[in-house]
Amino acid sequence: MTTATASLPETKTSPGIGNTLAAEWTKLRSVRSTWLVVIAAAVVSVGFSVLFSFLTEQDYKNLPAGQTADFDSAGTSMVGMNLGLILISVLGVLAVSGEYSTGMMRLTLAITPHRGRVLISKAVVVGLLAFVLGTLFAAAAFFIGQLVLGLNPAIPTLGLGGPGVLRSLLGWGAEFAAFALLALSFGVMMRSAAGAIATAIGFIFAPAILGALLPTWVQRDILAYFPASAAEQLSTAQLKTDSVTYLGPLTGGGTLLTWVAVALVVAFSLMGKRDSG
Amino acid sequence: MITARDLTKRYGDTTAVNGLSFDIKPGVVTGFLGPNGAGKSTTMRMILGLDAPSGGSVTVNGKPYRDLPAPMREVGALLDAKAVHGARTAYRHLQWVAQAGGIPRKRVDEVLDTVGLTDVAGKKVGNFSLGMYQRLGIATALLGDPPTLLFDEPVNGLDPEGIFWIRTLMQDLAAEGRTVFVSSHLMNEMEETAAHVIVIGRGELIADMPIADFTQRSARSHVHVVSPQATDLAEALERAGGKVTKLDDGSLNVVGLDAPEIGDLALERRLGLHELTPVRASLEAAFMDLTKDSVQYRSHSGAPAEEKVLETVRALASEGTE
Repeated sequence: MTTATASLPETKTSPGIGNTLAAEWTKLRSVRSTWLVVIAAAVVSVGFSVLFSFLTEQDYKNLPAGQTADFDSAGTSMVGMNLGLILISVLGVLAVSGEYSTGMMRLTLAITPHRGRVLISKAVVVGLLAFVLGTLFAAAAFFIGQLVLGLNPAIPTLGLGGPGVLRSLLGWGAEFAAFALLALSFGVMMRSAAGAIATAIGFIFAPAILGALLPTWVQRDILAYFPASAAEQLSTAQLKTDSVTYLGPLTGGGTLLTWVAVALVVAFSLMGKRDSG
Repeated sequence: MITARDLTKRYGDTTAVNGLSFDIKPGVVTGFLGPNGAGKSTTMRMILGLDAPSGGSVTVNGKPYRDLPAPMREVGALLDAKAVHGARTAYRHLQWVAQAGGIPRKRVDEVLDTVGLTDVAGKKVGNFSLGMYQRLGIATALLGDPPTLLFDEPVNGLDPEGIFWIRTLMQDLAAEGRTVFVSSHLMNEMEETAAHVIVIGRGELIADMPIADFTQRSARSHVHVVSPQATDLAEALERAGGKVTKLDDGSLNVVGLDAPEIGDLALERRLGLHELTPVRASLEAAFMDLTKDSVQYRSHSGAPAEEKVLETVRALASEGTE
């Protein structure tokens, strides 16, 4: 038994953020569950969108006149993205919850005692992946959807240069990234996959479910600022300025960013304050 | 070198570690003994900067762990071997650890070879046996070739072959001049591995001394003698200054004379010898004797101290209980 033959440099250089980022990317990509969730997200985001486009194309003549007059071709072709949000939130939670449930977080923090660096690296890796996936899925759903809708000559279709289309595709990237990061923060705060996923799903659907039940002022002054409705301001190509929850892309984007920042800061302060668990 | 001064950890009303002070020196294996729940793991987590002390301090080579510029190059630790993600292969696990610590990739192959996991490097960790988990945990600890190593209950649940392997490894690492700090809740486990022991009970220091002192301080080191003329021999031995206890089977336990002296004496008196066995006191027996004094010494401070030491001794001596 000899351990004296270690091929390590004499100088003990201090590892930096680049090392932590590389390690977090290896962690994320080296478990199969990550890719299963990505595949499921692709199937749901793109598959449901295409299916919905197909059904709309088939049934277009039966739609009420109000809808066909102001037909949302982009929104129709990307409707499944809202379901993809659930899976991308699961991805965000899994990126941390597994480390708490196995106890591997102790190893992570022993190697990198700088807890902020660990959290930032996780956030960058998960956020970037979610952004790329959101944009890719949205683009796939949009282009396939426009082809499918275009089968019916009565339906007006759009190209990449259509009004709000490019913003919508990148907006879906941002919305995926934002929800992955909110979910990741919940995972750090709760250290439990089930609780964090439930909370993330609650945030995704709260405005949609509660919206119709609540008085207008609650929708306008409170629900509009929930992450899901704020994100819609980026990801919806055809924004309706007369909607009660309308904020506009800039205010919506800023609100979403604030949510993510606050969630990460709370997660960081809990991570720093608590023992490694 | 690990230095603890007045190290204390409280969780709410419970004090897990209370005013621990010790120095763990390089070049020898230092055992960290205490019953389950005595505060060993908490102490190790504080050494690694994972849990924050409620009071006092602990440093590695003069610095708090969190201030070490390259922690993996300074300290390697095996806390809980099973605390790894089972869906990852052994290679990928070591790869992320190496990346995080700024360790070159080829070192992963070296440590896999050192612990004998090269053949299963591509297999998912979740299918590993406990022994393989332990080897992976040790590979992780060795990645940075650190001068200080911590092992928390490394032989728990291992088969004899695995126990032997880990003991040899720890002794080799210490012989290379490293600081090796290894915890256990069983006294006899430390006997053949550690040169020095630190014993804690209910979070407090009970003993900190070389194992040799431990055994030498015991009055129980004796020589077991079997002779067909036991009565004559016993008389001769007592005249020569030995203290003889006759056992029920007619054999003798002799204290105060060593085996060569007894052998020479028997030859001189032309008395037969069928057995002459030096019996070194077990760590456990030594501990009982040693703490008898400290219990008396401490008893003026009230019953709880005495109770604590006795409880610690009993728990450490009871092999096989978890």
